[in-house]
Amino acid sequence: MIDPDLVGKELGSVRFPVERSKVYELARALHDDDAVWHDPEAARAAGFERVPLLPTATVLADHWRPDGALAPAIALGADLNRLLHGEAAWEFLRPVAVGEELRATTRVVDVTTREGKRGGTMTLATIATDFVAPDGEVAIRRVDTLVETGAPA
Amino acid sequence: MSVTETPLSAAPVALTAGEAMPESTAGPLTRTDIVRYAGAGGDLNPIHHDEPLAQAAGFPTVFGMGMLHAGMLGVRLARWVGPDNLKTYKVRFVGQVWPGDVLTFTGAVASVDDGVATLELAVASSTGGEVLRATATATVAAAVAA
Repeated sequence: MIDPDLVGKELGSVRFPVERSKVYELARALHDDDAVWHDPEAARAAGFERVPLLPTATVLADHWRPDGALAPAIALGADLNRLLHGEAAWEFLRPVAVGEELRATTRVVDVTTREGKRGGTMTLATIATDFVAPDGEVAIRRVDTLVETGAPA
Repeated sequence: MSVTETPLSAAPVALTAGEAMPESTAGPLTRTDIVRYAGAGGDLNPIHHDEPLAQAAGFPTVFGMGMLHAGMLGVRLARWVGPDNLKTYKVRFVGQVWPGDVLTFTGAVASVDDGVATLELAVASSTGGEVLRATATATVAAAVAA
C-alpha cells in the first residue's frame, strides 16, 4: 500500500556512470544497434562531438539501486502485483554524453487516490528524479506516475 | 523498414507541421526480447519474466515492461529529430504488450513554433491496438523553401 505520508520525502540518491557497454546493451535491447550510440569514432563520423545519449538511458541509474527499477515502488510501499506504470516524462535540459557521471535523486511529488473503474481504490504516486551533472546542473528531469490498482475485495 | 536506416542527426532537422515520422515496426516480440530488456534496463520485476508468478497474479502470461516500448519509440524519435535536439518526451501507458505482438511506431508534427516542434507519437500492438501515447518537443531547423 503506497504511503501518502511520503509526499515531499526523498526516496534515494545514486551516483552512476553513463557507461558505453551498458548503453550498447540498452540500445540493442531496444533493437537499435547503431554504433553511434556507443562508439566515439562512429559518433564523430556522424557529426557528433561526443557520443549522444538515447532518450530513455536514464534507466541505467537503476543498476546502481539495490532493488533496480523497482526501488522507488518498494520505497513507496507499493504492492508490486498491483503496480502499473502510468506515465513517464523526461525534460532534457542539457545534452548528456556517454562517459559522463550523473547523480540521480528521487523525491515524492504527490500521492492521490481515485475510485478505479473495476472497483477498489487506486493510488497514484508521482515521483520526480533529477539527474545532476558533476558541475551541479540538472541535465535531465524525469517524472513518473506509478499506479497501485485497487485491492481485490 | 529497419530502424537504423535513418541516420542519426547531430544538427536540428527541418520539420513542418503535418510531417510524419518514418513508420516502423518491431516484433513479433519474444520472451527473450523482454528478458533482454529486463537485464539491460534493470527491471527485474518477475511479473515480466516469471510465467507462473504472472499467471498467479491473474495475467494470461508475462507482458513487456512499458519502458521497453517507450524506449523503442524513444530511439525512433531521437532518430527523427536528432538525440541532442530533444527537449521533452512524455509517454502514457494505455495498454499491455504481450509476447507475439508486433508493435507499430508512428509520429507526426502537430505544430512548429519559434523553432520548436510539438510531436505526437504512438505505439500500437497487433493484438491490443494503441498501447502507448506520447508527446515530445524538439528544436528544429527552419524549413528550407521549396
